[in-house]
Amino acid sequence: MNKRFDLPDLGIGIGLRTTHFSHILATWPEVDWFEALTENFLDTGGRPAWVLDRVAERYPIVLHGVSLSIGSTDPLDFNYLAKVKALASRTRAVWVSDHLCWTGVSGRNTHDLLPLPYDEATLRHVATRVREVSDYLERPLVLENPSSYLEFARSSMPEHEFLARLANEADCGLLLDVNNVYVSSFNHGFDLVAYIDAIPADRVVQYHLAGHTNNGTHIIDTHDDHVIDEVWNLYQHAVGRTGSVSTLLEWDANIPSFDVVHAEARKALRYRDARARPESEVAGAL
Amino acid sequence: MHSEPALDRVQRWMLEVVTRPGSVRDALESEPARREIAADRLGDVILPSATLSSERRIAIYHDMYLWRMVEALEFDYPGVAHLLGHSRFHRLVERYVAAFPSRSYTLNRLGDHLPQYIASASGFPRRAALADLARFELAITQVFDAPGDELLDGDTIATIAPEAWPEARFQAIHAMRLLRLDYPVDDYLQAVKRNEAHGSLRKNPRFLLVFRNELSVRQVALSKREWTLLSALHEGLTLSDAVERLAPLRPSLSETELFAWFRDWTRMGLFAGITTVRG
Repeated sequence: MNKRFDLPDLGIGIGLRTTHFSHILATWPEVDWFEALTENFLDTGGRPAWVLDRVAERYPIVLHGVSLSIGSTDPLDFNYLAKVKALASRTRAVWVSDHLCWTGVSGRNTHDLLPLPYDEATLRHVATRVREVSDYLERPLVLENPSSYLEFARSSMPEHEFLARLANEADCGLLLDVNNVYVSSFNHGFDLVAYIDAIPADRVVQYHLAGHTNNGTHIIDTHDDHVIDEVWNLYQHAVGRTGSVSTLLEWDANIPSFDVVHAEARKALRYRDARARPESEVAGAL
Repeated sequence: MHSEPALDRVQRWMLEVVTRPGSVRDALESEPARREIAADRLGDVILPSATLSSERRIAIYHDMYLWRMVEALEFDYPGVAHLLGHSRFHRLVERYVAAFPSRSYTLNRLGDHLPQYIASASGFPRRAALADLARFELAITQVFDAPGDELLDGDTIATIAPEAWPEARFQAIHAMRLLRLDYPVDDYLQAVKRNEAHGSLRKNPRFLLVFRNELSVRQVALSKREWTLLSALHEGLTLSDAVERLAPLRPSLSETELFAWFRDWTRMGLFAGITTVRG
């Protein structure tokens, strides 16, 4: 097995969102795969569960979570993990992903993807938990780089180094969110290309793309608009290192019609196909 | 020189700062936050950026927390949000999530305590009507998410011997709630969802059935007699005991009416099973 765990390139996918349910059921559009937000389907026996099951009969499904809280100092929630495991089995999820973050502590959940300090102690803590989760789920966990709005003074390494070491030490896959790299780079002032180049290409199982909101002093990862050109160029650079990897467009607020979201996602094909462009040309466009 | 606070301390501190109502400055200086990290050590924990101070950076998370809670509860309680208006609803959410913070991996159940909170909260107009509306909207979300059931079919019912009916108990589907309300909040919510003019929510008792049928949440206004019998069966009473509950109510229940109700309830898919003494 390779470092991507032989997980396939599913092509270009989009997020499965309630507002598009009727369109999907009526037209069964030509989409390569869907990503379902795990928590939206864990405790419902109604229409969302029924729709997900119908979609899973026709398309590959990937589960993407927001409440694993892998970096929390609270104990892992095995009640939650049992439900994730059951849902993954029911939908034949190709893989299960979540974020490098913590969402709460002391039993409380902020429902936000809160940043971690990147130091040796945190690395050991998170790596241990990633292994526990992977063992329990009986599948490799795939972790996404978060977008963040603050940095901890105690961090002793950049985020890309933390991710690279975590992937190797915990033997997990990476979901590289190119928009998040752009957002965090703007907010923290690090070099975009250096970040991408430090990510172990053979660990990248999936890409995320999305729009954001630039407030001048900082960028918020809002997923409410088209992907900007700089992010597309960064994606092209990243794909040049990893080869074609499953790619997904997230659009979670001000969601337009299915066709608009799908067309935006399919723009990724141009950049995947153009990945043979010389590195110097791509870097110049960033 | 200060030593670095451990990760669990940093997380408890950040949780307090992010979730505390009011300004981020108030949150940093609150007792629970200072117990973990002193307010004047903020710069030792969070770095400033080229454009934002340490305080402004953590304020982004603080501000987004309440916004996210408002958005989640507005989705589940559009009627309550409409009745209160933006500013009052915002204040309600701020107070509610301080009293009942999320302890779940899902936001879907964040509002489970809102009806009881409203019933005891001060400072909000039309509290009784508001609490009724919240109960109704909670029932809708509960029914929407409830587990599905195999439905009791006519063939099974036909196998029940006539003499077994008085002791029969019905198993209701999970996706069903019965509400006795003092205000016509069902009409109000329908008007809100259709962007139509709505009534003034004058007291007018309602006996509502909220249930899921073919994946859609439906609501039906029942007579007091029908609601009373169905509620008794929902509680698990035998048919004869349930009928007893109707004794004080007029007109008396006829066999024809009872059969008609059961026909309607079965057609609506309200029952998942039936047990008799003989099994």
